[in-house]
Amino acid sequence: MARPASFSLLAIGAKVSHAWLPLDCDHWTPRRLLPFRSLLRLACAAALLAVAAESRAGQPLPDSEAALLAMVVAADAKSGDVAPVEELKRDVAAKLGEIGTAASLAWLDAAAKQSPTVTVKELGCRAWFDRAVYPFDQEAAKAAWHIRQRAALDVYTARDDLGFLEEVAALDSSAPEVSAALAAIAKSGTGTAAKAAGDLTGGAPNAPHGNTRSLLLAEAWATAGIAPNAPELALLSDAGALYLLRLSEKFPAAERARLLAAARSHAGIASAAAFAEGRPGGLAVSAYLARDGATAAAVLASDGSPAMTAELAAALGDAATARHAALALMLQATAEARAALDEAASNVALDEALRIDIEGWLGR
Amino acid sequence: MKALSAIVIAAALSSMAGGQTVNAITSGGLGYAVPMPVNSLTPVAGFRSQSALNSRHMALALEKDFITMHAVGTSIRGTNIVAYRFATAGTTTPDGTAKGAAMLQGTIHPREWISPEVVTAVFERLAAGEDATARFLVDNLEIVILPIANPDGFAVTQLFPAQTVGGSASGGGGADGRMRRKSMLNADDFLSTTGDAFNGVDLNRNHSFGFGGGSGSTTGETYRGPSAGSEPESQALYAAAALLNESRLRFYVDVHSHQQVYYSITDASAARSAAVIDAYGIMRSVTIGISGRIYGNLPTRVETESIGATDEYFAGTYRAMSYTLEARPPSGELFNGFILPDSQVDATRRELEPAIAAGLYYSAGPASVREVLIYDTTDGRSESSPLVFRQARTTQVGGATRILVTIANGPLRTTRRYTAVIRFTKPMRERDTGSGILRAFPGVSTTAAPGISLANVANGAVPVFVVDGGGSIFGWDRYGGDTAVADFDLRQSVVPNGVYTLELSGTDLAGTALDADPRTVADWSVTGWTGWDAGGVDALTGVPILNDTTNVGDAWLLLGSALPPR
Repeated sequence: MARPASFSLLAIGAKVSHAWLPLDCDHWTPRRLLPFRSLLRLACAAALLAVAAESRAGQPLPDSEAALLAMVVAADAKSGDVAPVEELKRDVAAKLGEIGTAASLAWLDAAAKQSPTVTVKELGCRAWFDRAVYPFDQEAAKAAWHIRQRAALDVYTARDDLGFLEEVAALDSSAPEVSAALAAIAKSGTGTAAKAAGDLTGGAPNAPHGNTRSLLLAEAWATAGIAPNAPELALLSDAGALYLLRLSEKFPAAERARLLAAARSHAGIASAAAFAEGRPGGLAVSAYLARDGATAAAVLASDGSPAMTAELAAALGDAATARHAALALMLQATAEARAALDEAASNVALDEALRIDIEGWLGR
Repeated sequence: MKALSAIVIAAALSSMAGGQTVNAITSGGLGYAVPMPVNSLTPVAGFRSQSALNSRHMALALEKDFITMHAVGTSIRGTNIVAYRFATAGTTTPDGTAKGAAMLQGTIHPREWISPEVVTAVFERLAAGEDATARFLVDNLEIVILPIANPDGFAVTQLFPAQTVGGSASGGGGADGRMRRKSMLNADDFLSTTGDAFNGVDLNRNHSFGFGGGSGSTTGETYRGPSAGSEPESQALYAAAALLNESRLRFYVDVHSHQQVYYSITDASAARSAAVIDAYGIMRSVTIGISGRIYGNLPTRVETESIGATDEYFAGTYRAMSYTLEARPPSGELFNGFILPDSQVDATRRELEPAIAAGLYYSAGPASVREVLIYDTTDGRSESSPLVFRQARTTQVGGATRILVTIANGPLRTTRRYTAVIRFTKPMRERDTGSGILRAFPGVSTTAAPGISLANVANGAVPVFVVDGGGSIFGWDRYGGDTAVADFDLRQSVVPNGVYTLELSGTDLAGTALDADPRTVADWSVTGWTGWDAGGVDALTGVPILNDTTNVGDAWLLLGSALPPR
């Protein structure tokens, strides 16, 4: 690409500044360099422009996988300015992630192991660190993952059954084949999914499942629309159980209710299931607080209405529910709730430790 | 020059402004599912929601008498900022020394969602009090935890977990929404109003000791605010510290992400700075022992390199061992290190909570021998085994010194067998839940057993730490692992009558050697540890031994006054 000569000069400046200046230098200047902040700003701005000028953003890439691969192989072979090469590799990797096939994997896998050399200072949490301007390595890894995921999905969906799941269950949960298997399960029929769920639990029915098997089971149950019972659910990994809970909306209402009830026996999602279930219809505030404690308090607090505040204030009068009623009022944090807590803090009938906590929350 | 500068800057800013649109953060951009907050009081395989975390903290505080909650201020929008104080009653430890004070803080930068998870993990462990270390910490320190220091900003990140202003599909380079870093000063909840997306104060640049290190621009990502401590959230932080005995504040950790590193704040005091690095080394080792992840160290001198961050404030104001802990990942591991995948949340909690607990443990001071008891167990150990010798270290009023009180009911005899019970001021070992073996903190290399020897007396003593059987005279005392027991047999010895020095050594859970002379109580000061006597061998105990085979008889006891005067 032809570009103005001035930009080439600026690009040189950018390369120098990349080495030690954050582009956004107005936000950060070494204390000893404060007297030169204006000059630094100028250098930063120049660097920004130079980067923009060097960018090949917007230029179309060929649609052919072979042509894309040929481009990057040729670019890699050239010596000279590395920035355009790294940018090209990033863009080609991204495109191969969309259209690539197994033919691209060798290049993508190799690129994923390389380290970009063109970096820019980026603000982390506390300090600036070097970030790749063109993170072609990460883009290549992602692209290779997508190609493998697509290839696996093609194979899986071409089959009439889900008999491949046992093999997939042995893989790491981040493997592309696992993602493909989950998608294949979701596309299968309820009967097929139900059979798959049975197969996946059949080997060792009482042994805790690994993470991948748990995810596959969750997807199979959700697709089949059949909630597991509590002992079955208890065998899922925490991540698998949470995945199942996130799929709970896919279940028919009655099955969802069964699922949420069963989920309360799984330590990894018991509380989340109680949140998801919410306050059962017809259950009085005090009864709900007595049953679900802090979870009930949090659920009730999401209703900030004066009517709810009044009910919670009333529940303060019962020793069995006072603590969690107070918690709900604190979480509500409305003016009415504060007033109720203020009154409770001076109520000597309330437990002293609770009054101390209420006073603390009120900032006294 | 100025004109050229203005033109170039204007051009540059104009190019940046073009990117100020509301952008989606996608799983495609991140390379993994976009994390969504989960309503759950207890930890899940992902991030909990702000309301769930609030509920969790408050519920535990209401449940446990040793946790009290305190509204320490309100945010710029009037949201309560709540700190929690963990301490058993009284200002002294069970040993009679003055309690130290420590503080943890999280979520000052809202987009760093792992921060409240890590801080809450420490909160939950201390609240549960199910292990010896947790109980020791609550008994021996005052600890304040401020889990959510920037509640307004955190709320915005959770309101828009998959959106940001500017930036890419990974959220990288974005501001506001999921990527908000600053407070909500002059900012609203609507991402569509992008004009305020860059407003707010970086609450980790708003403090004295280096104030000015942040940006002076109100839209700068590190805008420091108009003056040191100007923001209500900063005032709340100071009020949280004031819940403690501030003169005894010696440990502070501010949890952030990301870069997998500790910023350790050193100063002109070599001794204090050495302790800062020692505590870092312990925390680092624990994490390596758990996950193999290596957290680096970036020492920062408070006098010359401060930027107005909270760790510098606590180091400069209180001379505490002070850290900014940046959680995983290291730079370059993910497209956007601020958005950790759900799959890494639990692992991060597990590798950092024990590390922080180990830092707190170290900050409580060195272990020392609290009591030595020797029972005659010639007929085997039993609850009625006769006590022959006892030496206790009693803390004097004021807590700075201890006296050694010795009771000898008779000499040890060369025809008998004995069991020594050595009680320490801290839990010294814990049981690995996987292997079942006794060990120090994960990753801390140390000798398996304490040392016990009667100088010049062969006795075959092999001490073993006790983590089970509390309540027995041969079991642990206050905390599992605070006691070592050694059987020894004086029948192997041919020694003249006399008083023999009992030498005791050992390392604690953090691999730290004993305070060799507990008569001067080790304590933290502005220049580091004081009264922490080096050498690690406590040789203050003198044990009378009677050589029965010479038939001198019990008249020897009249020599009891020859016990060491110290």
